[in-house]
Amino acid sequence: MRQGPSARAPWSLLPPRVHNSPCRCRARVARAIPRAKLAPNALIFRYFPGTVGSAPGASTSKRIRLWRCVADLPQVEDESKCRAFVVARNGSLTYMSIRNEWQTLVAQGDHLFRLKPLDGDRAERTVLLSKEMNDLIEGPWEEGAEGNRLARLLATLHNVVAGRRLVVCLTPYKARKANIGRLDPTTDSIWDIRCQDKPALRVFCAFVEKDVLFAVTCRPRSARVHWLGWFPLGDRSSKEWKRGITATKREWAKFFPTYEPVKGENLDAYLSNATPE
Amino acid sequence: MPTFQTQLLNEIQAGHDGPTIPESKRVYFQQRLRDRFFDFIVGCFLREQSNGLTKAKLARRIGKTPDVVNRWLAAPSNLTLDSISDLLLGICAEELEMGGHSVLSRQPANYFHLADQPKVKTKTKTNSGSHTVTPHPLAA
Repeated sequence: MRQGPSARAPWSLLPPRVHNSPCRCRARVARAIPRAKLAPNALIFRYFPGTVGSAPGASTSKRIRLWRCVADLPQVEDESKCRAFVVARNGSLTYMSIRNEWQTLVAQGDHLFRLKPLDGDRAERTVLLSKEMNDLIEGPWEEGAEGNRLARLLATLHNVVAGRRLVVCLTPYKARKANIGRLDPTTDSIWDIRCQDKPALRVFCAFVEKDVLFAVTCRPRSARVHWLGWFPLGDRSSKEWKRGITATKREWAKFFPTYEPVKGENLDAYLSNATPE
Repeated sequence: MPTFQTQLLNEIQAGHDGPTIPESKRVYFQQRLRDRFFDFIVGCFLREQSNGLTKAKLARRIGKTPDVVNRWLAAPSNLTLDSISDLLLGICAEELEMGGHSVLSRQPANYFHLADQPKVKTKTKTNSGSHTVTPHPLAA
């Protein structure tokens, strides 16, 4: 898709700082290009998951939208690594919202999956599943302890999707019977869905937006289970907790490299129909 | 759609002469029922909280300790039929009306919580005539 009338390569239209390092960071691009210099030609940037940092404020402006276009871009790096493009046009930089991002990824159907509710249930919330979680839930399961436990896990996740009431603990280490608890450190905003039937399981997740959870990995809480290839999380100081959190952050960075999970102390920002423990 | 969900209803819809319903599927619906009861009870309690009900008052009304009431209202796994009856009486002086509906042949719900979802309209025929169904575009 061609943006603007100019036949010149888009990079040549950029200010020198950006021209020299076209893919570094959205925030940097935004800083480097005053609005006045953008019109009337469209300026196209591409960014790569491995090279971008967070983009504070990206979700705050309605003018920010991210365009996906591939034409008229110089071959600066491997095209397959390019996740999206930032298009600055008519004096405003626009970014794609995280909602468009996850919906596109789900529609692609390769790596990010959306848990479908049981027929007849309303989808009041969304649970996105990583490949690991999807494989776990998809089965086939062995009848017996594994099948029973995973059936309960699926029912728990369906319960979340159906929008039923959830008890939430915002304070790490204080959860007793909460369905969902925030993990330490709270600045990471990584949560676990607490499936307390024996053997207890924890599903590490993060909030993509309100009522949209991204479930990344499932770990046994205390006892080792043969059908889950992870060591039990154990006590609060164990390395397994840190590994779980790191895995969640890594997976998040893979799918949403320029966004941060929902953060803050306001429960309403995370979930509807939820009560604090 | 995940394998388990696809096959969830296979044995259930086989009728009275069908094979044994696998334990995992029974467990799935057990958990589901628990969660629904819990959702209902906690919803009642929160509604009555706005009318001045507290866990302490509720415990006193049904002759239990606050610890017990706290535990019942904390997780679905703590509920029993007896505790549900006690809680409903104490919370809102109600009892449950029995009813059920088939888990078979349900239509997927159209509702999706994100309002700006694009909608694709398709016409489908049903036994009760034709009507418009709006499947979610991301649905598998």
